[in-house]
Amino acid sequence: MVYVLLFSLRVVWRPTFFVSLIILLFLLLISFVWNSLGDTVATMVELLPNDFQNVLESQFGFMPTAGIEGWLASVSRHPIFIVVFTAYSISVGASAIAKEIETGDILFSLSKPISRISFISGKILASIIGIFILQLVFLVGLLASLSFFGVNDNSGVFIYLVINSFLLFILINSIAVCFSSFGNESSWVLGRTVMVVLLMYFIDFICNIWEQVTDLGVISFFHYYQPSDIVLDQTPPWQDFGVLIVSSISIYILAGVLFRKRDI
Amino acid sequence: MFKFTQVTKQFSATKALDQVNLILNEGEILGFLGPNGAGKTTAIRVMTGFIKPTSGEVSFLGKDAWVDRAEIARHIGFVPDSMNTYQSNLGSDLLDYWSDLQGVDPVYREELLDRLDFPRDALLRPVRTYSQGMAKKLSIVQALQHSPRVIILDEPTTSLDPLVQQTLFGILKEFKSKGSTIFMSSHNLNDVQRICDRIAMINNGAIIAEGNIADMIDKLERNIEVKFPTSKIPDLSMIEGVTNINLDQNIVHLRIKGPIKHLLQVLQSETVEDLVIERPNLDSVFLSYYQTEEK
Repeated sequence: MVYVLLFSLRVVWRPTFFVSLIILLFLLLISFVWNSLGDTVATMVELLPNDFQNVLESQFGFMPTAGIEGWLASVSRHPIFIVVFTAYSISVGASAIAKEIETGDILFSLSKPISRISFISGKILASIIGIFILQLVFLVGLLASLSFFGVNDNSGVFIYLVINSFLLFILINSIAVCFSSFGNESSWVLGRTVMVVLLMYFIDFICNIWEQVTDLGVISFFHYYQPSDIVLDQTPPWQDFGVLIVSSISIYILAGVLFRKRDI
Repeated sequence: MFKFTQVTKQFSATKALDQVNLILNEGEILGFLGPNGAGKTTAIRVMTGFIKPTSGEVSFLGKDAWVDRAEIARHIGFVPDSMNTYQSNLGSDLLDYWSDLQGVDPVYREELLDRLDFPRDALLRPVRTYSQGMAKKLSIVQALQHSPRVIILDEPTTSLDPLVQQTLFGILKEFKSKGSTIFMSSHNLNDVQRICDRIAMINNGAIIAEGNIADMIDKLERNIEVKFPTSKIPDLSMIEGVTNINLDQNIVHLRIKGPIKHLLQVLQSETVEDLVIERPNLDSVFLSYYQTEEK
């Protein structure tokens, strides 16, 4: 497993590095713009139509306001980061098995004395490490961005936020790995996983803006990613963490079982 | 060593393997022949534990190829039919990675690289820069570098030039003399005839013939042409083994199955101007079996 892990890390280090760089640049750029706008953000939002305000509230958990809280909540649910983290999590998951089958690489590795479980475990661990690095960069970017606001925040809010984000994208990765474990083409895996993620996002979105179906929100994994709650409560959402962890582990185990039984 | 017992593999509506029984004996080179889609690659993947048979079993020294795949893999060197692998990685990194996974020192790597004429500087380049022939050589090196007990090759000569093919056969023969057992699938009948002790032919997922190449050739009819100086031609149709006879002026074309001593005895008492005996080769064996199957 260690050799598969090290080799897989060598394969993903380049995309991980470039994605990290993009995250850092966007984070600094958004923070700079946010800080430049100052108190005008609140005024701008107040001028928007009510329905639009509702949509914003459903996305950020509360109305984006000026200052560090608004910035933090907005940045952590900013579409660019959601898209970049999701794309990375899905692509490393898809290449874990399905791409290897597509290219025939897996025939070389699995003709060696390594069990399928060790093989997929090495791949999963490499994905987790890659996602962890991205989240670490995200945390560093958040802390660096604080200089724009001139705030020294020791509340741990940032760490809770990043843990929540890390767990969400691990879950998305587990879904990709699961599809990958029985798929034969990476494009098929990408398509299926994107479909699931969009569906989950849509459910969360609908449940946030439509009171009658709010309770259904629990079926979407985005329900367990609420940076605004962390910012407002300043406490870690242990329950959300737990749901994301248990779901991810279960899906990874399912991926292992499927991979062990499949033909190659 | 490897034993297929009533192995069937069904993919949806297609039966890729149908009640296959086959034995790979220790120390032999077995050629596995068949047209495209006959089931060669499926059989190899069942053997290497990549595919679970729908019914039946493939065993290696009593161990199940599917259940004990990782353990069996300690003894195996496998060359897949294609090599599109890890395009952005360096050749040397890949060889190290596969060697680490094998868990055995790559004692033959340097020698194999030398003999297959693999440029050392190419090892420090990404695999995407390799020609197909170079990629194939890398694939061969990864399979043989740890001196495996059993070597399984799926179309090993594809993309290799004739000189390298010759070298590869030399290497395989040396491995055989050191005690390795070799299973080789191929389209190239000349390759198989040059190196294999025994062949098995597969078509539509079923083994249609198996045996020693020389014996199989001996069982085939030979084409014989006898030219007589005059149009007075003896009756050859009564000779034992003659199955088909045609007369073209003073030339007799006939086909004979089995030994030709009876024909030679008859011809001894005749005046013969020319005699051409066409000895069948593996191509003839292959065609005779597949044409019979098609009929």
